[in-house]
Amino acid sequence: MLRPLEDVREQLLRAGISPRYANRYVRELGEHLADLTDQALASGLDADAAGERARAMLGGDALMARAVIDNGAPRSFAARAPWVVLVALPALLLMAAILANVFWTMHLLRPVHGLTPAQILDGYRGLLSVMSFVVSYLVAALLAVGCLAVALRQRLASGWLWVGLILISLLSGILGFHRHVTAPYGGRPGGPMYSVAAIVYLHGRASLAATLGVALLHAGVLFAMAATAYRVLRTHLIPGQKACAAGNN
Amino acid sequence: MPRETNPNFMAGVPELMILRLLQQRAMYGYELVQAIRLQTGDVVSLGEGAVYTVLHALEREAALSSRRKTVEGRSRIYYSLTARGLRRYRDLADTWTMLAGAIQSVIGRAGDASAT
Repeated sequence: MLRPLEDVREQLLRAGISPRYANRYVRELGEHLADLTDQALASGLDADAAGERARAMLGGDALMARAVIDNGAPRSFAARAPWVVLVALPALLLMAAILANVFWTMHLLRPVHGLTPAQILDGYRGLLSVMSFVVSYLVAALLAVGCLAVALRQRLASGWLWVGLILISLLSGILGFHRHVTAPYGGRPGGPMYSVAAIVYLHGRASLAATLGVALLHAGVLFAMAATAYRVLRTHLIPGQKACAAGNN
Repeated sequence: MPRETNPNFMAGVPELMILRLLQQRAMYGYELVQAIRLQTGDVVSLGEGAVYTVLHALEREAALSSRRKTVEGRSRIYYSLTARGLRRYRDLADTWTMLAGAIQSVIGRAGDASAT
């Protein structure tokens, strides 16, 4: 059962009306409904009858929502261009974060240029590792959360969301700026190495299969987490979805 | 019992009345609907929920401004007329007066003809 006027908000959001405007409209209608209820109570009706009369005077949910939609209420940018908000923008932000990490890491490495890994302070190496971790995992996860939040708040169809989540997951799994310290092997000296992918070394040699496997595992884990979060949140946060989910089971 | 307003005659009327009422003082939605009903002797009644679509459209066109105000423990959005809204009101009122006069003259002549 939806709260009074909640159905109006739902219809507006599903029609792409900006959430800010939909919330304001519903809030004003709620205040108007309270005034009408007071008026009906003052005329001598009991609380239930007053509530029903006020609701009838205000008008039907579908009619009120339609009036707003037909009257040129502002549509959200995400509703007008979901591919920009859910796909292009997060992908660009992730690439920008990766590039920023490259430049920042290079800048941090300048003072220790020429030193062997053993000569670099543990704390310094730790800082670089944390930065790689943040960019490779945390930024991508935050962008996925941002996409989920926009899609859920604005009741966007899930098509572009899935495309965006797959792209973020793949970019985050495959790209990145990774700093390795390889161990001496087979007479070759070890040392610091940098790559744009999390290259996996087996017996001292880069392994394409293992590298791709790790990248896809990384992407798969991120995508699975985001997809599960979306399905759970959608069922619990969007009115009417719980009933649909129960009906499908 | 209030008469049902004929929607064919209502184009532009809610906007004109809202602008006129807000020219006098800032009001909120419920107050506007009540004022229109009262001042027109229930001849014109604006849909309770429909008033906000008119208010918001006028606000988007910068004819109105709004601000949230708490009065007697209730928070409400009060609308007031802007300079652009005042110009718009004058234009609409002139058009309406001219139109009403023209219609009245036709009705008057028709009435005279049927009397003779």
